Amino acid sequence: MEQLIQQVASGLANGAIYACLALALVMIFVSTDHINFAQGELAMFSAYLVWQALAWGFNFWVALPVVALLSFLIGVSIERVILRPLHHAPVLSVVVVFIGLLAIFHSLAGAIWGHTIKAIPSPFPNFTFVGSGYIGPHQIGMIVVTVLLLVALFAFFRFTPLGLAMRAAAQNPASARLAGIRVDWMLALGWGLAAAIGAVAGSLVAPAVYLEPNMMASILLYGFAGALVGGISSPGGAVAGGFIVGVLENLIAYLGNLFEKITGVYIIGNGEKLTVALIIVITVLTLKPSGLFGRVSVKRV
Amino acid sequence: MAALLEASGLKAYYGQTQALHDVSFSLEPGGITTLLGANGAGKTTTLRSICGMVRTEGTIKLDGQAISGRATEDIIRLGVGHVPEGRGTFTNLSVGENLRVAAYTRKDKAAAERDLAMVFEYFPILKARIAQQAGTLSGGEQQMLAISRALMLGPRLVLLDEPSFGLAPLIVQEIFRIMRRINDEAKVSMLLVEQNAALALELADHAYVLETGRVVMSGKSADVKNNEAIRKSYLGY
Repeated sequence: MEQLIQQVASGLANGAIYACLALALVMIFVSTDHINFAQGELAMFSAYLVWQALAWGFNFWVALPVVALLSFLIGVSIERVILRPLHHAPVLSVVVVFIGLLAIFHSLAGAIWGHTIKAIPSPFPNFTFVGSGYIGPHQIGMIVVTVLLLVALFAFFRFTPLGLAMRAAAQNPASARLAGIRVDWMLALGWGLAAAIGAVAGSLVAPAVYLEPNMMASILLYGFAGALVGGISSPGGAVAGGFIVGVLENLIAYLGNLFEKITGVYIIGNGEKLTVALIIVITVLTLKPSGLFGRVSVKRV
Repeated sequence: MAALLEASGLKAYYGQTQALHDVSFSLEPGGITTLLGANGAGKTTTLRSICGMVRTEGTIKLDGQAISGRATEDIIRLGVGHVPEGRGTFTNLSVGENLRVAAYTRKDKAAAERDLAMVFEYFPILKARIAQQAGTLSGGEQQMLAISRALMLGPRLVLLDEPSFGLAPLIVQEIFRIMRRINDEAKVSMLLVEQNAALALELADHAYVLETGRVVMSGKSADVKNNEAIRKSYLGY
């Protein structure tokens, strides 16, 4: 039982990171209908920026907002400079550009900071509490920051005029222009927000997995899975999906280990976590293509 | 009196296809002008040209200022409301959000609040449905919402693209009655595109008749109405 709680708790912590990345993916998807394959590498690059700031002696909590802002600007520039000419291009061209961006940020990080593993210390204070045996301070910190981020984003989209304008632009670009909204800038803003969210995800995951250019590869896959399970069109769904995937992968490994202990037959263990997670994704998508919380788009004909 | 909107030698293209060949017209401030003509005559294209939504040649001037070639959102910000074909509802947003987002560009928030109150006075049903998802409104209510969104910009001129389309006659009459009031009371000039010529000529004071991208006649509504040849050949009633 104790082990079960522990597995669920650490699943929630991993899920928080998947949720952040899923949120970043959704941010770009709802405004442009594209899946940004470079999202993970952008987050990794931002994590390196945080590491650099720490190396220069800045406090993590000073570095993170500055890097998030910087990432926001990088995201906006990518949209304005690289993707702007591609607005009417076929989807495949855009996909190739995303893969190009992935390669560029990957090599850039390697070229600037090298390929050796670096460590970012956890920014959260090391304290003990009632549940300390089940979950570490950094893991709790990741969950709290993710939830705060989600609440902040929700408030932004729900209660601010700019957030409303962004939703309108994503939903009906032609009508948004007729309301005087600069739709192109709203897309750039979506990119900026996604990059900033990615920066938070990257710098939170770096203390847990160590910093190196490949660190986001599998995490992006999980984030992608979370976004799809929750519904790629729904920010709240994506966050829920991220947590679901995080908990499920741990639960399944736990059940597999338990099964092996009882029967002595090995079916599934830690090694198959990713496989199982992806099988779940496929199952969900087969049964409910729009994801668990996704909006089914209905058209009047 | 200087023209509010003046187009001369207007040509418009969809890709290689030319939809307007030579359209000239001018709107007086405070009036209601209607563009009539059969399907494909270029009525909608003319409205889209004014708002920079298609590629055009020729000049369009708003209050003497050339606006051709500008981005749609910049033209809108000069005070041109556009009630588009198909109503352009933000279906996933609430009615209230649809109205608020339309006032997004306005600096004077107090004036926007006054206009919201005005819109609710014209269309009380929208106030009753303020929290409802706009996609669930009936066609007539969505048309009212579309007109209200245009009014929330605080416009000098509103372009209306077939506000009667797909609506029951009683609803159409109600909407046209309110459009008359808006023109009278809020001093909003209108350019109305309609298939229903009889209805449009009732409301408008000036009319232009288009055929395959050209203006074939223009004049006071009463004159167009009384010209049997025009009525029979172009307006079909």
